[in-house]
Amino acid sequence: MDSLIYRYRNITVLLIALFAQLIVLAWQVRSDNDVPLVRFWAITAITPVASAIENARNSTTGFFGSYFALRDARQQSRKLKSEVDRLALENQLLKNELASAQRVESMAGFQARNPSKMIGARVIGTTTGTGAKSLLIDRGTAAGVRKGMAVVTPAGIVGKILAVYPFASQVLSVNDPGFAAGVESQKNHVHGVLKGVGAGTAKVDYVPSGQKVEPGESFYTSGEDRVFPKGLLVGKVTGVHEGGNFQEIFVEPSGSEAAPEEVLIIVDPSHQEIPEAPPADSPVFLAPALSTGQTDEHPATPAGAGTQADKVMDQYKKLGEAQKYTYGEGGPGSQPMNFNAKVPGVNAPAAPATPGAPPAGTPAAGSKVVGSGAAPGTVKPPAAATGNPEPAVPGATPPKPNLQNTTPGASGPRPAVSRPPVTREPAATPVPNPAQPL
Amino acid sequence: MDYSTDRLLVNDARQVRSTKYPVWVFFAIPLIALLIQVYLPLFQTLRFVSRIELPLLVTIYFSLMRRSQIRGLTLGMALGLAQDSFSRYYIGMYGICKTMVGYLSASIGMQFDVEHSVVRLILCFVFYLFHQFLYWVLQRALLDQPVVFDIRTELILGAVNAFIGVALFGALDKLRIHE
Repeated sequence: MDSLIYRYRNITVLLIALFAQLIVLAWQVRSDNDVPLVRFWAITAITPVASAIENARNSTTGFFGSYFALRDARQQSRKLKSEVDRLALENQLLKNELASAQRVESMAGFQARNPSKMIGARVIGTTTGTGAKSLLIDRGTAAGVRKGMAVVTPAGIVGKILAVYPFASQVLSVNDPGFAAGVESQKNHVHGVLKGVGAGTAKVDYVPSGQKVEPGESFYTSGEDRVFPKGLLVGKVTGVHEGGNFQEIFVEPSGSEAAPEEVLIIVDPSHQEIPEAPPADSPVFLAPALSTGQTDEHPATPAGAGTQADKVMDQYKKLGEAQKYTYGEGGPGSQPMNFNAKVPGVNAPAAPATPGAPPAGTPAAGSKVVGSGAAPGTVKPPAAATGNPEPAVPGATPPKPNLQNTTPGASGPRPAVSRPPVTREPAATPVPNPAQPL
Repeated sequence: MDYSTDRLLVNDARQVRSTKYPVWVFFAIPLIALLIQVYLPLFQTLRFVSRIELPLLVTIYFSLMRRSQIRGLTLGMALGLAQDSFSRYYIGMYGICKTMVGYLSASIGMQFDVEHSVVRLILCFVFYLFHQFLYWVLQRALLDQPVVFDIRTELILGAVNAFIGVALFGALDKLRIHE
């Protein structure tokens, strides 16, 4: 028996194993129960290992993930740094563009406010030597620039045209020792001649001792040099030294404090008044007092009242309207308005329908026309002081107001005033020429 | 062993000798096989691992190499029951199948040169089909489940498992104790 069992023990064990499993299976199917013990042991044996592997995998993945994230962060940092550099450069370029736009806007505003006709130019170089100071600008004869024209910025005068080429001009800077211009102080209207000294400052010569000039006071162009129209800011007094006959006054030119990049060339000068200086003892800025009886519609001085210059200005305005001439539009060489034309009701007797009735605004018979060409600004500076190659003769009689033949582009010295002095008159304000961009 | 490796059948039953392995191998390898079967299909890219019957291949290998029917059916039953434990079906389905495979492979291992790659390939293929067919029969007969035996798919999977089995057996051969 034992040998029989031993002989078939393999198949016996197989049958027992199969039978046992079938029993368990049948029991589960029949009773719809589970064998939790077997599942418990199997899952208990497997899950710790699976959990350990999963943890190891997470750690490994986390390590490599951190490594790759760090590498990506480094690349991203490099990329961001280059982006920051690019943006900084772009920001700098935009700031420059903005500053340029602000300068152009300032110049356009200055052009609109100033009665003189100007064209814009860009500074393209400098020929500064040890003593001489000059600039090169990108406007020449092709743009209507001529030798001797004034060069300014909204901050003040820069210099004057020294030499003209077809597409460029050389500007004698206000700091150059060869530069000279007639100037007038703001407060006490002391006249003198501005001269460059080669350094950053200039000085005002020919101011007799005893005339009051204070440090900090502003000097404006006087128009006497027939280059710069009256009323342009020159600079502030930095020092006053009493000498023998004349004072030594140092001025810091405001137009050349910073290297200008764009300038304005005055192609058709028009004088304007020097602004009133604020009272020195006023702690705060005070606006001008409101004049009684002045309405918003007529803020200017009423016709018939005011100074003789106002009357002349009014007369020229009416002459311009009669001839359909707009001040400030004619370029150099163009035909100016006929200031001697007889217009009834202006400078000629009115129509016979109203005999004896004097037209409004007509100056009284025999009244002298003042200011047409000489006033303001016909004081002749010493010839050597103006820097003009053909200076006016000192003490010469002011030219008669026969402006018919006075052409701005004519040879010889430019007339002191090639057009009637229009003082801050909106109607005569020249519009910036769109054909001459800044 | 002095039999030639180019013969599929052994000349004499006395030539058949059991291969010995370290004890830990009998625990670690089935555990790893189960672990791979359970864990790797969790990953989307390793879903195909669930179609590879590593516990079956391990059962075949140890049954063939140990050449002991009782050890073969015991290992097959243990692995089958453990596999059942991780399935949603009743305990005993894989157990019965692998018990049969373990017993039969141990019986056949005594007749063939089980170290021959072709023998291993054929045995893996045959036992895989037998295992799947038996499982299908049990499903239909005992559980009354209307499952279909897709012979084409099973043949392809049988071939794949056979090739993997040959590679696995070669790797497991390195664990045996050389006398």
